[in-house]
Amino acid sequence: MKKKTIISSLLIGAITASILAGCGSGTDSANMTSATSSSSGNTTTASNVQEASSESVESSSAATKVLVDTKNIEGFSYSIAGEPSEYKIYCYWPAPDTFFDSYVLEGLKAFEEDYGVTIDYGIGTEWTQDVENQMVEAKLAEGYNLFYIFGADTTGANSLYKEIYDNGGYAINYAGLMNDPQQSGATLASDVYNQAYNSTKKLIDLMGGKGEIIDALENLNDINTQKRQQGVEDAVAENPDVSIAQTIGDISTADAGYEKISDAIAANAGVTGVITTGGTASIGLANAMKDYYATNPNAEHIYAASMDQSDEVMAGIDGGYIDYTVAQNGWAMGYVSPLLLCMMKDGYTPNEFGEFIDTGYIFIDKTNMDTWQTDIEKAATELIGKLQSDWVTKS
Amino acid sequence: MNSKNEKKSFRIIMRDFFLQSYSSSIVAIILLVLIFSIGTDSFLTQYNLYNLSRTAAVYGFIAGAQLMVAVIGGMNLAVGSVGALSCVVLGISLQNLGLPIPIAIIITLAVGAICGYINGFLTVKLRLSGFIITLAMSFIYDGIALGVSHGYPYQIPDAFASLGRAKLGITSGLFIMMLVFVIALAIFFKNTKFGRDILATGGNQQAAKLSGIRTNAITISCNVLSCIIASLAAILWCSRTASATSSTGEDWMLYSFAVCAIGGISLSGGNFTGIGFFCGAWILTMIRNGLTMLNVDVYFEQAFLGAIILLAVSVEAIRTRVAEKIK
Amino acid sequence: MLELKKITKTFPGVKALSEVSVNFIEGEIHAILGENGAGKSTLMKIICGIYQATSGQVVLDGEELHLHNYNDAVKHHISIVNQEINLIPEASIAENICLDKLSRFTKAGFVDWNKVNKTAQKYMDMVGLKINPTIKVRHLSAAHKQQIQIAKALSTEAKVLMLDEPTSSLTQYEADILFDIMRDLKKKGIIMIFVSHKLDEVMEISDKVTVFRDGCLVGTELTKDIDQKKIVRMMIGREFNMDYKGRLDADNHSVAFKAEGISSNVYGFHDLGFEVRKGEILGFYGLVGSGRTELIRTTLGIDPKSAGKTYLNGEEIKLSSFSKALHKYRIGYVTENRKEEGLFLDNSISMNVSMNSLDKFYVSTRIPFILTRREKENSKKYVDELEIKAPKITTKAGSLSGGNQQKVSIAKWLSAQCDVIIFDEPTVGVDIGAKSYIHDLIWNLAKKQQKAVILISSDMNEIIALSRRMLIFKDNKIVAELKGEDFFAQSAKMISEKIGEFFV
Repeated sequence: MKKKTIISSLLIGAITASILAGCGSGTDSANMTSATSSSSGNTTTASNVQEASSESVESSSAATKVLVDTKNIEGFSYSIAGEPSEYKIYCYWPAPDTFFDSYVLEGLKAFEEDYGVTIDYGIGTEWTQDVENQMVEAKLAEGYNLFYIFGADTTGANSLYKEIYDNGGYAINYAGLMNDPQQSGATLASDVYNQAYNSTKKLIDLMGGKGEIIDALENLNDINTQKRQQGVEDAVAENPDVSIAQTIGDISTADAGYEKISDAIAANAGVTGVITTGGTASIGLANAMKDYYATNPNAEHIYAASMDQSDEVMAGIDGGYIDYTVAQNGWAMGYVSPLLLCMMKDGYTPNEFGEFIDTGYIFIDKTNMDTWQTDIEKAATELIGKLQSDWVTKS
Repeated sequence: MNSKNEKKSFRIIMRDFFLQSYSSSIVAIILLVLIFSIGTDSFLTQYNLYNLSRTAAVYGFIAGAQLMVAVIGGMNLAVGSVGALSCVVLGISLQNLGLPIPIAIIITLAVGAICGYINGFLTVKLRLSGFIITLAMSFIYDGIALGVSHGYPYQIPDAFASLGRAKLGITSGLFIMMLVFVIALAIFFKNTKFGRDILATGGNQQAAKLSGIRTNAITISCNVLSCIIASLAAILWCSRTASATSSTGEDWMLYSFAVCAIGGISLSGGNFTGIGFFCGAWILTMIRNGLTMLNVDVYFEQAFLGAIILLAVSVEAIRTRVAEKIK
Repeated sequence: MLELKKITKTFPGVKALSEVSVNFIEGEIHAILGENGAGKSTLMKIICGIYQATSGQVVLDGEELHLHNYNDAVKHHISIVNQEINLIPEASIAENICLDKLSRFTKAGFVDWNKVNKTAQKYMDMVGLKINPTIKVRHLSAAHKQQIQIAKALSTEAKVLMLDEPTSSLTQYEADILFDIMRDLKKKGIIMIFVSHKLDEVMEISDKVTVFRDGCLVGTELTKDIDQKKIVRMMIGREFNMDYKGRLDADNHSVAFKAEGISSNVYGFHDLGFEVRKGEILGFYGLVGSGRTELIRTTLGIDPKSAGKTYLNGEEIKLSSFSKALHKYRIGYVTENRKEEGLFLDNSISMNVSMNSLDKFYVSTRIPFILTRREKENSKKYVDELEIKAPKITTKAGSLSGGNQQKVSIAKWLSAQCDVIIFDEPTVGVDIGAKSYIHDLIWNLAKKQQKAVILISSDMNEIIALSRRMLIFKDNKIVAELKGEDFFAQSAKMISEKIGEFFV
């Protein structure tokens, strides 16, 4: 009996060890994956990790550096006033997410390199305001004073920002909009309505100005979802020959997106367009479209518009079953937010407290799928160029 | 005289049918098919049926994972997490290690088995309820899956994806697999000593012990089987969606319970009906599919979902009364 | 006066009661007797509104009652005290007693606990319960819980109080207290209906006896006019004889099973041993908790043993788990708790009977695939052989009466063809007909089939009737061994006196 117990314990130990070992090796590969997709802007990950030689990965990332020189921007003259170590910056994202890993983090690292300031960042375990408060408050207690945060709750995060200011710190909200009244110095995010509206217009153009569209929405309780829905519907309303065949919603996982979009396509024979305006639903869309063409060899092409640059979506653009995607400028969020924080510490104030700075978006399709990273950084540079003229003033 | 006899035998057939617990699920399916096919022309199209059969098949396996512990009166809250971990293991095996498909599948199932062994072993040794153990372990498995993959998807080779897309006549290869799975389960619980021992353990653990059944071993075995089936479900899911990510399985736990409950599988253990289980998977899939088909207002969709599930399960309550009336 | 007039109750396919007429009078304890399934509980349920009679009338004090549920009955001051304890363990005594009328003690949504406690105390006094009413029920003994149930029943200002086997979980001493309460209540003019299997009790406490058999009323008699034998005859239609069955003559047979030096840290006994021969019935006599069941469970590996050796037919065997005892060495154990440990109540009779012998139904030893046809035949055989009364072999075991459940529990071990069988209290809670049948069965196992049998019982008459050698257990020790065919051939009275000496 005892022997058995010992053997079993050993077995469990071995299992744990093997899992951990697998963990280690897996991390490497996953990192490699993210490096590939973010720096080169390459689409597929799986095959490319093996096919693409390491040389090409290096060269492409080197190319990125040369193309955009963020230090010398016309109309922008600022360098940090104090020692880099005085700028204690903390960046927070509410839950593990590839968007943060691939884009925001890249911008963050570029800023660190350009300005010599170290940024500490944290990712929450759970997408709740509670977890966010705990982590940020701990950092506040540690002596950090410059924060850029993706507010987990559109109302709840405001009180956290107020707390930061009450403690003599500075806060910037990024990636999502907060409800009024704003409590952070500024918000760096995309205008979700605009994106959805313009994405729909582009889709309608592709469809030749006529046809039926399926609109796949994410969490219906989210104010952003409602804005996106409005954007899609407004764009459709401008075109008398286009209508929304069906609106599906409540997609909170990629799997649910896959299932619901597949069902909706089966239910609406003759639709010519599908649009998703959220990243999770877009992964579902990519999987659903891939499966749709694979199981229907003679199917007519359905124009598919998606959101964000997940690997599934990028593979879809490469494979021709996703027509384009809307890329939010995560890189700009990661780079410009700490820059603004440093400026605020050095005496700059937002022209209007809580102002909304649109980080913009670009479309990625087959034509620019290898170069879009440069476009994004260019857009970021343009934004930086306007900072001193449009958004902040030295007091 | 002759016709009277026939009529009587028909009544008896009807009564015997309604005495079976699975009859309510069959009636529910018929009702749903009627509602949806009247509501929309697209429901009974070949393409939709093919899609339905594939989804129902995967749900069948997901629920199978829950079933294996439900029959001993336990529960596995880690169904989805094991699924997520399995997807990641499969992805690593196929993409990063470039292993052949059969070997990747075996490795994935082995990882599932190990997860199940840990769940079962801890449940037995710590003498805690499966609820607590599997809840805790689900975080660990989820965490490992996310930690290893960082949430990035792994690409699945086309050869592997074709498994999930195979068409067999009007139905899908996955559906045939589910059918085989359910029949195998039915035989397992009816005609093997191991299956009987499992049911006995679920029926009355003390009595099972005094019938010479090593109930601890059964508990561990059921947990292992549960997680192997969860891994299998993950493999099939990957082949169906042609991608492997750690986000797979987020909503499996709820669905696994729902299928068992709708299919008349007692969550306190001790019984199994293959037909009920099979129908449970179909009912849930059809409801979800049908709601999209009917193009109901998305903001009210959940209310409809609840109403239809209520309708489906209330058939069970009416069943016994109907059976009594047909005497 | 509560009058039942021509009560008939039919369930689909079964006539549970037919044209039963009986009167219950104030200030009388009226015992209702009958074998399991005779119709007693159906009658009780009709009186308290849980069932509705198919035809006939229930008349209380000249008013015909139409009860639809138990609440209706309570409104007419009819209460029942169940065999099982139905109290909320985490609530106080007072709360349990007043639970159904808490609203009466509520002011503006708040419960006036003082008032609740006082009211509860009143009814507790009626049953002689001298405990603080605020104590949680969880902490109380079975007897106290039973008293609370009676207090609760009385708190409805009961005119009619039904007691369904109230002593089944009580010790003799506790039962005596209960009887005092009953006599006391009788003086207060309450109609009391008392259901019990224990004839001694019925003779002691009741004024009238009504006997049921197969849903019909056999007769109502004044208790003082009849004796136990007459009652038994009324119940089963023949006389019950638990007397000496004859000689076993097994002293020269080989030893089938032997245990020596068995010690248990769990139960705290040391160095106990016993042996049983083929064709012998070895009695284990002692009170509950005296170590008899514990010794068997430890020996067989159901509970862990700290030391000890076991032998089967002279060869040493290791019984590390009960699984081994059954499958490898064919040792069977019919447990004393058939509902908790012996049966799968939600499963069919067939499955229960076959549970321990599934390998018999394999296609072949090489193909371990159970043929359900063989399984059914086997179950059918034992159901017929043991005269288990059930509509079908697919009927759930839980729906059978106690006696039939016990038969299923035994059939399971017969089907497994065990050579050594241990019966632990095989006739507790079993009606007289089934009891007699089980005794014959045990006797025949030893006498005709030459099985080695151990009979654990606290019923002295049972042991005297069957075993020809017995071990007496007291305080985790074997205090004596009584043997000799001649000794057991004496009158039961002399034997029990002899045994009684060890307990003085």
